[in-house]
Amino acid sequence: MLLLGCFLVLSLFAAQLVRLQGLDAASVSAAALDGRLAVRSIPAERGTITDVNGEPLAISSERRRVVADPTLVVDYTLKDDEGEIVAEGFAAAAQVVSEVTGADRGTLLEKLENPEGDQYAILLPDVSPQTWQELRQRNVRGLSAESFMRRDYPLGEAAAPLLGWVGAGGLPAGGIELVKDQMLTGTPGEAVYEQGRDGEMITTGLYEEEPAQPGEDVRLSIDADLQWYAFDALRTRVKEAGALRGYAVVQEVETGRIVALANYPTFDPAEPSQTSEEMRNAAIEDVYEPGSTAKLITAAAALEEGIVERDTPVEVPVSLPRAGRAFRDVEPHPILHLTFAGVIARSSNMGTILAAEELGDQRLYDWIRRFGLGTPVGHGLPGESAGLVPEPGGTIWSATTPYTMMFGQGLSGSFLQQVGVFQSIANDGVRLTPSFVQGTVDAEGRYTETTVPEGTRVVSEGTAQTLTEIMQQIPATGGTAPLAAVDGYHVAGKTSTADRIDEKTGRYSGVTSSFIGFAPAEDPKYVVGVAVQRPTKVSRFGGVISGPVFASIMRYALQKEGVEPASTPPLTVELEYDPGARAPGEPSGVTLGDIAVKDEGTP
Amino acid sequence: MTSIARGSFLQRGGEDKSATPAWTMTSVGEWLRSPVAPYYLVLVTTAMLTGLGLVMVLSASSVGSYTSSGSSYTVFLDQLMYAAIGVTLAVVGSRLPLRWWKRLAWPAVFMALLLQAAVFTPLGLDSYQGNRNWLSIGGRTLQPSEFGKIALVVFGAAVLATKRRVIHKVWQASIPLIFPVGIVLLGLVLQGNDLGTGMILVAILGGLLWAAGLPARWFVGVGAVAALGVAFLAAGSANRMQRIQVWLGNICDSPQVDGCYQKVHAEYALADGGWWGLGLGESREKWGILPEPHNDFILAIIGEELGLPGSLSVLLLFAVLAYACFRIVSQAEDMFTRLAASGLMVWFLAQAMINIGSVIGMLPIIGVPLPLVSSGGSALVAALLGVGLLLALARSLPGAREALGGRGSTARRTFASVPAPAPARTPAGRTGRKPAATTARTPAAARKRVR
Repeated sequence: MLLLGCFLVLSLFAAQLVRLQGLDAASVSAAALDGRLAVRSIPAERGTITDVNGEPLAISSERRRVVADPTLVVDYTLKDDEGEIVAEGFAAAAQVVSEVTGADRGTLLEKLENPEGDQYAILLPDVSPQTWQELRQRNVRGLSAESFMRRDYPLGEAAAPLLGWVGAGGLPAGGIELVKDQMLTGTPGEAVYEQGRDGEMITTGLYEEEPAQPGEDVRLSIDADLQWYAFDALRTRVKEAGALRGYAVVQEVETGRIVALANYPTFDPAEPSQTSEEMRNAAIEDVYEPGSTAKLITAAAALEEGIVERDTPVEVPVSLPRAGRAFRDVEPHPILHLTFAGVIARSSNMGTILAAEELGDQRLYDWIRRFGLGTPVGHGLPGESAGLVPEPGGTIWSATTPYTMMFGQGLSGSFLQQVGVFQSIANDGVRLTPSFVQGTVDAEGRYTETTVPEGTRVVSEGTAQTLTEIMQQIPATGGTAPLAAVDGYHVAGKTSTADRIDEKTGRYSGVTSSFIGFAPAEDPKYVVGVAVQRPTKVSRFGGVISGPVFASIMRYALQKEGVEPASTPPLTVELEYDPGARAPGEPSGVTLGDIAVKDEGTP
Repeated sequence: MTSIARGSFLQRGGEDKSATPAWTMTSVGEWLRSPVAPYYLVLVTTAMLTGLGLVMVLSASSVGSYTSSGSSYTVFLDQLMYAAIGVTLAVVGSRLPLRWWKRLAWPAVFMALLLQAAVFTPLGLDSYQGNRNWLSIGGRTLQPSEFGKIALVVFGAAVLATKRRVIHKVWQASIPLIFPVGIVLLGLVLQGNDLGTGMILVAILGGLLWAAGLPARWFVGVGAVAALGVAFLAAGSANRMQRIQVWLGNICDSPQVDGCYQKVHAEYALADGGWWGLGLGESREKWGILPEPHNDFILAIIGEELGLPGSLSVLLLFAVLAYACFRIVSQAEDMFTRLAASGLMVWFLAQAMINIGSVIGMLPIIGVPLPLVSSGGSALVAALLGVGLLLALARSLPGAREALGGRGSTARRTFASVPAPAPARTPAGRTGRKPAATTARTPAAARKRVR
């Protein structure tokens, strides 16, 4: 009877087992699996940003954040080899973590005692995966690691405004990181796995992974060495001059590609606590009155329209009354007899007005716009402004506007717009949109070079050539900016010392001192621009403040590229004329003084 | 698996007759009727349960053991050590003459009572899962109630055997087995809050008295009282009431329902295993999800890893063990043998059923280990000691002594009684002697003895 009872019960049990494991198993098992499944996102490695030679400028690496659950760490005991308890709880954990990572024991202890959450304390915000592996082998109760990708910028602050940065949430902020985000960001993968009670992965369980697609690499036209050099030279000068800030750029003449773009002051991309104000790319975002560098536009227009020639004599008066205002040059002088080349080379405001006022408002405006001012450059970096060119008869147009615009005041533009004017002239009159990207490398490692955009002809080759000849007189011994000369090379360039509108008050205060030029003058390779805002020490003139920086960067760029030094003596152009001399091509008795452009009242 | 093992015996039988091939209904039936059958059935089933237990304890404890101690083998190696101790005791016990077992009855029960009482001294371990039946001796823990079970079986069998003529008098039957020994032991265990073990002890007492021939009317009365007692104890604890609610209430839709966690996850484990199992070592629930995977809920892990064949094998092995015990009871001529075998059968089977019933949701979760299989040193050693007694009883059966005893050297005999899979043994020394033994057990003779 007892036996029969046993068999009966066991048979019932067997039937229940068949029900549980066989007949009803499928749905219950599905519910069980559902309860265990967990999904983990696999971060996609962000593409690397490299310089033109493949040197990394921004590179992602996998890192670990060591976190602790203090409620578990409390129960941890540290034993020595003999099994004797050496330390317990927080102190024991702090000791082990300190031994492995070298972190300060006291700090660790404090973090455990004042955790971010009840069960969450960040012990070490950023360690290498290797360090974490070592720590993990010590088997400290309650310690775990979170995986994250860290973005490193080997050039640090030297390239920070250009490259931008990636914030804690993996979102790009500014610069190339933002512009090329879609390309750089891969597609995150996903792992579905079964997890145990404490969230650990059940190694024998289901595991399905959709691997992450890493982002594409972006190769910039930036040269890391030159970028650093430009930054360093600029930094030194801005500090010496007690200036507000400065920018420097190196652009390839024939491709429009930017080889270096430096800002100072700048920011450290590794420092997470900064305001967005500190992190802007001033070289791209700032808009200011260009000053004398804009005389180049006026000169080009006058030459193109056939109003003047290189050697046209101009009689520059002591003062020039126009639109109810007496225009003067920067430094007082008696009546000067300057050729048109001399007017530009000596940067005479009055000479420029006299030579070009025949253009008229509309033609001047059109020429300024044709050179790219008043239109975003279109390089794609965020925060670019179009600048402001008053339209004739528009709301901000005044009687003096056409005159001041001729020498670069009363209108505003960005640094790269002005550099673009020089690039156009250096490139035989063809303007190219500046670009930063040399090419991209896709996930399979294939490199695709970005094509050079078709340029826009702005002026004729002849005009470009004439302007180059004139500008060669400036950064030369005896020119207005001898400090911008580069030994062994013929350099063409133009200084500017422009009245600067204070951003806060909206009034003129201080100056923008800049020098933009290109070299070698015979076959220009690079345009280099340097602008320093509101220098307070050393000098205020563009040739003195920015000239040496220009020369230093240009020299480095040319030598790094291995550009042959000039073998011929520099070209000289007559800057002054003798008013009593006979005018060529005129009847005898007509002197240069007779045919010179003079102040004959408002045309 | 059992049938294969049995088959190997049969094959030997077939060789003896040197004519008919093995594996006929007749030859199986004939072998089962032989007086040595209980001995080998006990040997094989307990050996297989213990072996399966070791393998599954290793598998089920590996994850938890690694988490808590850094090694997957900590729990298993402990269990292996206890298995070695238990097997040694079983070998010794199986060779121990029954009169020695009887002589040990009184000292054993005193020892058991003493140890059980020591739980309440400073030697006792603090509450473990609401259960205070632990002693801590020399850095190791001991569960005296496990040894109380075997002691109670031996003591009860010895005492009742001497009273077989006066057993119908209830006070003769009750003293000293129930009063004071049984009551004191039970009281101490229940005081330690271990209802599961208490139920096993009651079952053992009942089984002994039933087998001794106590009139059935007493069981009705005592049964009613016992049921009331269980109901009272259950109602006195919110935890127990919840378990009963979980069992009968059909409330467990998900593991999040209060009190359903274990039950539902045991079902999950079994369902995950399905017909054929996930494979040895592949359990998911052992990853800290199902509590006590290597202990009370090892059957769930067996079902998960080895599927229905695994879990049904366990049932089958206990069924065969029950059959073997029954054969000992029915074949025994000696009252002590009959009673002790009954007691052991009730112990193993009741405990197995309570455990399995808990795991598969047919009983409330009472929390007793699966005999011979679950991890737990005291339980395993005590159970193997019980196996030793069972083997000693089987050896003492008429006909078995002649068939098993006196052949080969002591060493071989010792080896032969080690619970190991039968095919491993060399059939060499036996073939010569077998015919003599076989002739002694004609079916008719066997049946006569049963009566």
